[in-house]
Amino acid sequence: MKKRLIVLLGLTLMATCVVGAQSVSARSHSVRTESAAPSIPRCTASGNVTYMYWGDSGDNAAHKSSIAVAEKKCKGLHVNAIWDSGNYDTDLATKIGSGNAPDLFQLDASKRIPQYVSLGALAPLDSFVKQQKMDMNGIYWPQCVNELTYKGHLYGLPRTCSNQSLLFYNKEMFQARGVAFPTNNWTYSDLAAAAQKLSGTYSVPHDQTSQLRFGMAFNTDDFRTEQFMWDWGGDWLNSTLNKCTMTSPSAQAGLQFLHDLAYKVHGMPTAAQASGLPDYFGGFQKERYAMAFMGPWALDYAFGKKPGGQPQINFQWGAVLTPKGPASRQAVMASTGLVIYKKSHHKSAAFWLARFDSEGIGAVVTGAYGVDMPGATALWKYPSIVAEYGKPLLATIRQSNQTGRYPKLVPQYDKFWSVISADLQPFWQDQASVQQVTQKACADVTSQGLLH
Amino acid sequence: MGVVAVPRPPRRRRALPVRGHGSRLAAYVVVVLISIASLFPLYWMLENSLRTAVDAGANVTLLPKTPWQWSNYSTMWNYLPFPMSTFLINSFVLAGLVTIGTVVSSALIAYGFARFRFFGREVFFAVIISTMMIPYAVMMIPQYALFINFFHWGSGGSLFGYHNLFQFLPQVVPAFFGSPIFIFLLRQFIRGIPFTLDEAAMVDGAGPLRIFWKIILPELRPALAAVMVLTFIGKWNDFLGPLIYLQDPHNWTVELALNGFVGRYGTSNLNLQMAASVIAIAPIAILYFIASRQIIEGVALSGVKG
Amino acid sequence: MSAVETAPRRRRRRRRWSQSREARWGVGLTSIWLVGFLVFSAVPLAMSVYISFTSWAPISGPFWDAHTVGLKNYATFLHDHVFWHSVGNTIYYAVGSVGVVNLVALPMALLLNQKLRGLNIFRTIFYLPAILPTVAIVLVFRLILFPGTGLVSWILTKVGVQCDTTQVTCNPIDWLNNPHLTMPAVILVSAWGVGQTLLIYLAGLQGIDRSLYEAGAVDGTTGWSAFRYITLPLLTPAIFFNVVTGLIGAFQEFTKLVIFAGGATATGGPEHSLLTTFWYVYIEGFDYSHMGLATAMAFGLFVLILIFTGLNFLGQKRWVFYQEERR
Repeated sequence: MKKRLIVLLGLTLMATCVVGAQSVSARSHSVRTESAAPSIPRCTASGNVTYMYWGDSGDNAAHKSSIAVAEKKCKGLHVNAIWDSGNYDTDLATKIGSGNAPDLFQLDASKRIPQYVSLGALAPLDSFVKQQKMDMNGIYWPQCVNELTYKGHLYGLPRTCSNQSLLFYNKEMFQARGVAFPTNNWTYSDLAAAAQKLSGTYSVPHDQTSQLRFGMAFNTDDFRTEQFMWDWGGDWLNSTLNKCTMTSPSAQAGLQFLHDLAYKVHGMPTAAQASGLPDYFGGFQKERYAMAFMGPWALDYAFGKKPGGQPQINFQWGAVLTPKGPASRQAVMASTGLVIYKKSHHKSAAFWLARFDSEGIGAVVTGAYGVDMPGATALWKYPSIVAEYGKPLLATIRQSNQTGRYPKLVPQYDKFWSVISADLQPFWQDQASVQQVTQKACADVTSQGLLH
Repeated sequence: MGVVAVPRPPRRRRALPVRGHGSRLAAYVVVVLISIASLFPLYWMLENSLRTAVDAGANVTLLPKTPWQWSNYSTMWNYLPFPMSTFLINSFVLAGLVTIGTVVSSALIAYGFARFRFFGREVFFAVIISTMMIPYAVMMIPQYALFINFFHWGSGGSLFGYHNLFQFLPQVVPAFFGSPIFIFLLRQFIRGIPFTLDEAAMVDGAGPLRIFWKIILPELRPALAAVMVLTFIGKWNDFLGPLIYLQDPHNWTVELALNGFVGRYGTSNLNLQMAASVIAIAPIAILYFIASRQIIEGVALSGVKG
Repeated sequence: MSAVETAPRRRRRRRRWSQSREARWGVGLTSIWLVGFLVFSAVPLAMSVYISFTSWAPISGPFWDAHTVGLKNYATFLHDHVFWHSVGNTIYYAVGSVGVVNLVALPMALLLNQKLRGLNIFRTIFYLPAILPTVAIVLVFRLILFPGTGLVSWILTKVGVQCDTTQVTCNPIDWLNNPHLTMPAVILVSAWGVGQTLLIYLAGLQGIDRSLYEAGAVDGTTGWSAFRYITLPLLTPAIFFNVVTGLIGAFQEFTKLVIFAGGATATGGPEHSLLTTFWYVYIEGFDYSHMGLATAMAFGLFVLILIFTGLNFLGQKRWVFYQEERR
């Protein structure tokens, strides 16, 4: 009995190692790096910098190659990289709490900065910026610098700065239904009219099965909720973040329009239909939705352009600006900040690495993986970035960034959004009116102390 | 290999007195149906792990479309920050350490209760059993506070060349202080070992530890096997403990790795999810079929008498 | 609560060790547990009382530096309707899963408790689901229940219960996202892991003395009445055990719900329909860094478990029948 167990354990361990070794050797997609990196100040700092980030294996490869270059350029710098593709925020909190905080780490800017600042975990970077005479708004997209500024202090460098509201469309499906392609001058009414025509049971050249397809993908996440409220002139909070304004007529009108796309226009699946369909980018990929609002990351996740990425799409697609709403045309920007731990002993080395990774080659590599756009504007001219996105798409993204706006920096974002999304759910399922759910959402976030 | 010795008067099992062939047949039909229901999800897991990403979970066919996608397994193997072998080894190390700790400590404590009389023994034992009623919910956060604020076991440092083994300590160290349910089980077994054996050893001048080693342990082997296997499986299957304490991906167990296929980065890869599930299940399934007898009897005993 | 007496205890020991030596060893060996209990349970329990009065967030430093906020945390969760919703879900899941599991396990045990060829193999197969990793099992059930394209949907469509998912008018039955269906789905998944309960019933049935049935047969007590008047009363200790341990376990179920909802980042499932109190404690504590609030809520859950377990123990006198005098 005991012997058999030991033999079994041994065999399994051996098997694991053999399989592991095989697959590691099979996996060696090389990472291209550019020869000339943008100029950033010479590295004078030194030390062991622990750098924690999230992402998939493509992101990790980008980080790894960037770190390798950084260590070569900066002799005194040693980087201990921690890649966490799991429960990133919880893991990070525990590491900080147990006295093992990374020196430098990524944070979802608008979602995390207020919380981490109020808990005293982040070092303000103003003194570094001043000392190194950085023109923040010249180097980076201003929208994303704003997003990393909280209560007058800068807390992070925008490694990525991506527009989350580009309208991607499937040319094949538009042609199949004889609908004109979207343009940069579209309004939301144009979108609704096209979506209606694009919904129905039909086949397309690359998918001959006749099945149910829709004009728009069903998506009611936080970015979409904000986008529709903004473009109708509303928002969920006022500018001082102490009053919930979702009950305003303009905010309600925006949400109502998104809702009606499904229940009145029938250009988008209802909540019940959507649950039987793939999610918005999976469905776009599988030609179930002709249009979807996504960020440039869609190139990776929906189109599978990343090396080793699984599904490839085989239809022609395009992307245009966010349509114009009754009030304005505003796109949601989201940034990944590189932030430094308040009690880090290697702040200046960490800051150098943050600059290198946000202005320099690191961001180029990430951008060239089609994951997210670099936060530094100069990098958008980089050959590999241009090659990755193509000039027309890049021009569209650049143009749409002019209309970009960063989300409100809500303290305790997670809980805030969790409360709101739960309260809005009956509305998306057409079981309650927009007045009912927004009143409930505002009452809840106020009574639970989630505002300033 | 001895059967788990059930210390109770021998009683032959007999069929219920009045039963026709019809009921026997019906019983077989039901039993076979339930067996199929028990095994089918496992088959479905294996089947879907061999489909393409587009096909997985989509079309219902009894066999996946050819060619079978064996490459899913190698894709899955390297999908997460570290190859699957890292997570498998972590699970083995963690579950192994917990098993060693639980078995050694529980056996010693049970020995103390079964063979030595001292004041308040029965009350003490009742207290141990009653602590099983304390829900983990109230212990979860203060234990976390204890481990990360007092002991700084969140991470950092390396032990025996194993990087950040400290992250395992919050789950491993408490195991070395006994588990009530297994203390109970083993105490029952030790009581069933004839005391005359101890006495004979005492006459030869053996001390308590020597008696434990020479007399008790050999007799206890079947029960220890049950405890070992149950503890190992229990820890291998644990999700919450690793979720709280293992922050660095190179420390993840297989269960945490599976979560990595569910979350933010894995929604459209059902085939890889299933391939990873197969890998997570395989060691436990093999272990189970080797030691099913010990497991089943251990559960039945510790359960009914708990 | 031992129903069957174990080894005949040796009354007369020939003592080779002095009484004090024996006591020293006994206390020494058993205090291994005591040390562990004090360090890893008693001290944390005391700490948790303190933490529940603070606003501790692990990010900002050790808990002893956190601000104390008095009873605020208790007031907060008692006024939080999500908390009460989670209490409802907890009771729903606990009562539902324990009920379903026991209703499935008891007939299965009766069925298996006869002379069947290959019984050991069947027993092995039936118990298998109970020991497999929960995460993997729930993942495959998600696949099976996947709305529209999953196996269950496919069967329902074939049988004609569900509409054809290729039609615009079809709203598929959605086990994963419809807040009214998610909890029943998880309860059904937990019924698949019925093995543990089944084994305990089997052991209980095998412990019933056959002579009772033979005596009953003489009086004409067979079939249903034999079950009603002999089997069931003698099985009540096992039922009681299964219900009590099942409830305590179910009140703290975490993995099944979390994975079914789509991973640790899915906070509570659609419309919080899978959010149990235990999960809410985890989310408040580890995701939102409100450790004080989470600890206070954990005490709330503790009270809930105490009430249910207490009711069980009070009620047992009415229906649990012990074959022999309890020790």
